[in-house]
Amino acid sequence: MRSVNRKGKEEGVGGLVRRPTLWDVALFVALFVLVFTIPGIIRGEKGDGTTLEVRTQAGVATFSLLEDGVHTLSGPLGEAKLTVRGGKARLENSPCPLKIGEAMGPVSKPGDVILCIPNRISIRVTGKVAVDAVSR
Amino acid sequence: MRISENPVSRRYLSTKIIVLLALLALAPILQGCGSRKPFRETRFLMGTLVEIVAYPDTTAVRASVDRAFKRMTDIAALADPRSDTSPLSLLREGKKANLPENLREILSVAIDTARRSSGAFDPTMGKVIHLWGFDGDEPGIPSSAELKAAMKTVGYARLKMGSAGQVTATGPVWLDLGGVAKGYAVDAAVKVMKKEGVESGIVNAGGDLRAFGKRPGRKTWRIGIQDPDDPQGMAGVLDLAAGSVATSGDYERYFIVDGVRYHHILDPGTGRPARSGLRSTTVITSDCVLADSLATAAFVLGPAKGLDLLERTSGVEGILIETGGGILKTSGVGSVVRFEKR
Repeated sequence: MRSVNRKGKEEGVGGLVRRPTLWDVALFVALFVLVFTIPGIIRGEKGDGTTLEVRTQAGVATFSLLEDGVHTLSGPLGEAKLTVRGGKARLENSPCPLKIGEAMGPVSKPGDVILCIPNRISIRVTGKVAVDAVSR
Repeated sequence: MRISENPVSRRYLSTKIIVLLALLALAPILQGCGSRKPFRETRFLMGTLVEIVAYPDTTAVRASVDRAFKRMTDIAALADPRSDTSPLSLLREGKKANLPENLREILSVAIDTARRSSGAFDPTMGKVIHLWGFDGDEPGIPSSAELKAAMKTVGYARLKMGSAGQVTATGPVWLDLGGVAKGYAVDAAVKVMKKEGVESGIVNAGGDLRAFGKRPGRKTWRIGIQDPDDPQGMAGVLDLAAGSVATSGDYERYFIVDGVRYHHILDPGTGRPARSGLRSTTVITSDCVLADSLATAAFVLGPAKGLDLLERTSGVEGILIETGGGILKTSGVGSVVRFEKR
């Protein structure tokens, strides 16, 4: 079925096909953006580089990199301090003899990791990283 | 004329809205198909942090990851050099040991790498490693006399493997399979998941890793190589279709006394930390168990001999970072495996 508008131009099947107006384009762009952002917001995607995921023998905890503070982390060897200051986090006062976890800090970017294997503590900045894994 | 007064425009607008609302409703499903969210699980195991990433995130995949971790835990218990219940402890007393299949396979790769590297990698370094304390939590420098006595127990050639899993040694031998067991456990975990239908993923045991299947959303897996001078930096990135990558570096486990760094990669020739002119060696091959042992061997051998060992070994590529920061690569890096320096 074909139809013709008032100016005599052909509109296509049932008048559904016609030259898009500026409004059409704007509406399409707005809805396109909504379609591809709303599901992410609803799902609450994690990892914007401002959160620390801390794993200890007690379980997994999260801390904000945006709030300065000192957190006590317990492991089989004793307590260590996680210090957050100015968007950077580091491990301090670790009871493990090698202190390799202390030497790994500070961390601030998504994917950065501090590991203290003897005391079973891992600290990771969450967020999207450019690699799938790191061979250390 | 307003749109609402024009039946053609009204119908046009309402159809468009219906189509867009349908798109909105379908969006989460469409997004799910495209991104293929993975399941991640991390556990402390084998003296390191093990992470398994598996695609897609389903109940069945989660169960398979759990079984893969259990398999790794079993292997770790068997290969624990400090365990008195492991059959390896019999060899310490100079007795015969009947090894289960897993341990036989691990030991077989270890002896093979020892032969290939003319002893630069040696699984009989257990007593020396123990003396330095690198198998525990309190490392320190042993005395020369202690070291000399411990070195008498070293020598892979003293091991004899029988056909039925029986292993004998001429004199007491302290096996430490740490340089291979981790890689073997990674391979075993991948085997479990592949058998159970997991499409793709990575098992990463503290940097010794294996990727399998096609990486959803990309053609290859991107694997960063640790920068020896920067704990949070990468020396480069590898593009890997599938396979294993293992790195040995002097920054993994070490202590400093009077400004001297004593690291955990010991030279079987001297019993002391290897000073070969390398900071790290990365090996790329199909099986993680081989990558693991070859990385240690190449580190001990140093730049020229280490590179030669990797070039001579079929299906193996490698990247060696020298003390001065120079990067050496085997001939296939760039063609077989893409490497992008950072």
